[in-house]
Amino acid sequence: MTGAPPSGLAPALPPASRPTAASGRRSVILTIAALTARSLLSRRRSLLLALLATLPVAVAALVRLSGRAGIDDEAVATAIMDRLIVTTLLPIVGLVFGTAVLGAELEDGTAIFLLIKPIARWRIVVAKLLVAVGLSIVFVAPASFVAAAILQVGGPGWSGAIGAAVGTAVGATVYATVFFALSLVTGRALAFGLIYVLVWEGVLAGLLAGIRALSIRQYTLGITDAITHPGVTNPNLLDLPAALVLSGVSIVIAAVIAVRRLSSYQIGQADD
Amino acid sequence: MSGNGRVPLWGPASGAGWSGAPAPRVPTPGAAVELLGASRWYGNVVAVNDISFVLGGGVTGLLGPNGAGKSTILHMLAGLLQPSDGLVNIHGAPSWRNPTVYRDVGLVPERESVHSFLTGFEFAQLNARLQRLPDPDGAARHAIEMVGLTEAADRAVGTYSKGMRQRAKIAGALVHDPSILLLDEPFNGMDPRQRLQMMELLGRMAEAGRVILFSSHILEEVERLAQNVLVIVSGRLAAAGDFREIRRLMTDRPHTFTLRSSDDRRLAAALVGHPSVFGVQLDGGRLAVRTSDYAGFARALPVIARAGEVSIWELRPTDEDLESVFGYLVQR
Amino acid sequence: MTAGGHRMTTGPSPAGSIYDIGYRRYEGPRLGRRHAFTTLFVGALRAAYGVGRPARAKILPAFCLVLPAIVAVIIVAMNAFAARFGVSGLSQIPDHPDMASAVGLFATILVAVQAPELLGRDVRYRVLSLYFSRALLRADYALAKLAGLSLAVVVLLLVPHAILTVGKVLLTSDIAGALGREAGAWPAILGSVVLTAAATAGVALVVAAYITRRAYATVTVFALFIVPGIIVLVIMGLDLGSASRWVVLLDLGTVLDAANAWFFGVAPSPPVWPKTGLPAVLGVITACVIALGAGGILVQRYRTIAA
Repeated sequence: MTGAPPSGLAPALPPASRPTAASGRRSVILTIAALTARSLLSRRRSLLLALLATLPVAVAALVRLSGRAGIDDEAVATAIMDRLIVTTLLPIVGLVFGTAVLGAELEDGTAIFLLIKPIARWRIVVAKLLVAVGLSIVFVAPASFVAAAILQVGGPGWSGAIGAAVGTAVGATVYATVFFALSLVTGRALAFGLIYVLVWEGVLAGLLAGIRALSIRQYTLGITDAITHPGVTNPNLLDLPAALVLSGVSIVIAAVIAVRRLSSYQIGQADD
Repeated sequence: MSGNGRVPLWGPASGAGWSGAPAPRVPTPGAAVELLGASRWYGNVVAVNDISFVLGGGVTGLLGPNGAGKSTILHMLAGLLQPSDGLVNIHGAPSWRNPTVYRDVGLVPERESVHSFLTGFEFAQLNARLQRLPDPDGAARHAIEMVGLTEAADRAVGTYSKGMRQRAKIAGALVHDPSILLLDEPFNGMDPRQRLQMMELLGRMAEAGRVILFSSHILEEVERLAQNVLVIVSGRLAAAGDFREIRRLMTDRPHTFTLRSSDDRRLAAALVGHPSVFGVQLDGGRLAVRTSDYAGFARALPVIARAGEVSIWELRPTDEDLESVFGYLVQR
Repeated sequence: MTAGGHRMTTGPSPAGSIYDIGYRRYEGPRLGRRHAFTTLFVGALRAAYGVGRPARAKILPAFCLVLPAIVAVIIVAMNAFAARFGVSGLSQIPDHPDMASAVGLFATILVAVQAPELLGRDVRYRVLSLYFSRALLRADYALAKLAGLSLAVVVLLLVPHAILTVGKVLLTSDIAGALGREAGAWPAILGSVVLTAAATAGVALVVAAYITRRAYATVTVFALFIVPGIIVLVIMGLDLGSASRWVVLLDLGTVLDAANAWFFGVAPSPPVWPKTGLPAVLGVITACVIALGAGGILVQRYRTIAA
């Protein structure tokens, strides 16, 4: 190891004199978010979700075009708005994006270069959550709005469509945040997320009314109903303030858990 | 090597903790990298056991068999694992839960860890942005040039060979010109030419004054690159210091061979007379020979066999794997 | 023992030669393809329940196995209360024919989560070539995985039936008569359970064979089991004419419900299938086609997959 250093090789600077640019303090979050969005959308499989997202609109259009023989309008609208969008599409989208933005990257190792940067971990959480929540809303709320508008949910006027869009947007935010936190707590977030959606919300919340306060689906339905039918209270659903407060509390708790978990993240025992 | 205030490598903490009160853990002032009584365990399994050393410049090889705890040490240094006990410091500050140390540290992990859709340049640029460098493009170009990827800079990492991916990871790790570079098995899966290039690169970076610590389970890699070596066996520091000294200690140890021949007894009798042999044992159709002079024995054996008209059917060293070499070091 | 004692003293031949450096041929018996198939099959069955994997891999299968059992215990308890207090309307209590709809959800969860686990790992770690370079044929690999996951689902679905049978037998004083009645129900139980298991496991494995990323495969299976049912429900609500009734055959859930009804000789669940007026046996036929088709696609996929 002798001889002069090759040209083009910068001498190592002592740590103190290294430029610590104040610029780009904000852009770090945007940089991470842009990369995450790119990695999620650049693949074939997000096409699958897009397809699923357009399905409610297509079915609603079919219903409208068929001219409707006039029986159980309510049942058809419920099947599309409630079962297809709120019960199926919404949690799926939240589950996929919530677990994919960081949990999957920690699993396959692509998140390591992010963690070994002089960036406070909460910034990483914020950036990842922005993408998870943003994409979840984009994949659900517009479809929900259009489907509700086509089906004229809640009678003529836009209240039904707005209610559906706002309700699913809030629901998407809560689902994505909660599943994001779950993906930092356990490596099997997807399995537990599915059980939560299918068993807790799908079965138990139907049997035990008390569980409604802990069901994201119920927050969504409560908000949607309150906007669609202003002034009318449905005793089977959460009222607007309760749904909003519970949603907000869920988001804050999940985000705090996520920051705490990521701040003390330890690499898996893939030793040697 | 230019003398840039290198702190000499220290051996294991001198038996602290076993007799009397544990010695107080006082970090060495000015140490770039320091482990002080560092341990890490997973449940009942101890991965790293009370290791202390100080690094202050040049290339250091972290040598040990698979599963010895090399990655655990590097991950603790990189703040990706919490030490269960002891101190793991970078420039005097603990690296655990302290993202500011990453201004001075670059880590090249062993796993494939780059999004395959990024180009080499984009990856370096991304690292520069996340380091909040004032000129991320310039820094990225410089880093890409340093690892010799300029030609392939605009191709997606997914199309790279293994050696190129490794270099892309290194470019990302040194884009912010860190004073400390940690590399986990950097030569794994590389062909000889790529190895050579990588060794030259690491050598150049060490000459520029960086602290470089790389792990390997292959003796020859460490021999060619590292001035200093830390030998890790079963989570403990088995040897530390100048490579040549360690290497001498490793070769001047007794070797054992087992032999099968047409007449073990006659061969045994003939071998006992040779100065290189200091132990012969006949054991169930096998002849075990202990020798202190590896080369001398290798030269003498055919001559002795031919003189005694004995055909040798099988000759094998019993302890030439790395584990037994390390095992010997640990016993001392 | 190899020969070759003289080799070390032989000088090098002028043209070059291959030296005998002591590698030995294996001359013993080989276990062959059947053994390889069985091993893989048992491996798949164990993996489906997380046996031999860390504890966190066992949580979900255990959950899917235990909850149906709890459902069955609850039904037995309902029977016990009805017998104790002489409540009328005994027919309201769920029985064997209702079990599929009561616990089918857990079969869905199990296959949605475990099918990608069974197939995805080998693709992700690029070890398929190791399997195919052995006695095993490519088709064997696919079929062993299918058989393993199917049997796992069969077990999941049979446990509640078995608990219900034992409970009903123990609840009555006429044990012999109850045994006879229960034994009469078991051919239907077995038929329904095996068909359900083969179809659900087959569909899930086909999805997992094409989508290697675990999360996406799981979600796709989940969507495939739930979304068609909703679409069919909507379309059947539209009265689009008699031709539209055939869409029910696209929903595995409705088809399996009809098949289940045929096995037990009861009416398919409202509202969808009864509205179509199609015979329940069509459900059996369609489910068989789906199961066989899935097996065929799976085998075809593994014939051509890059190993």
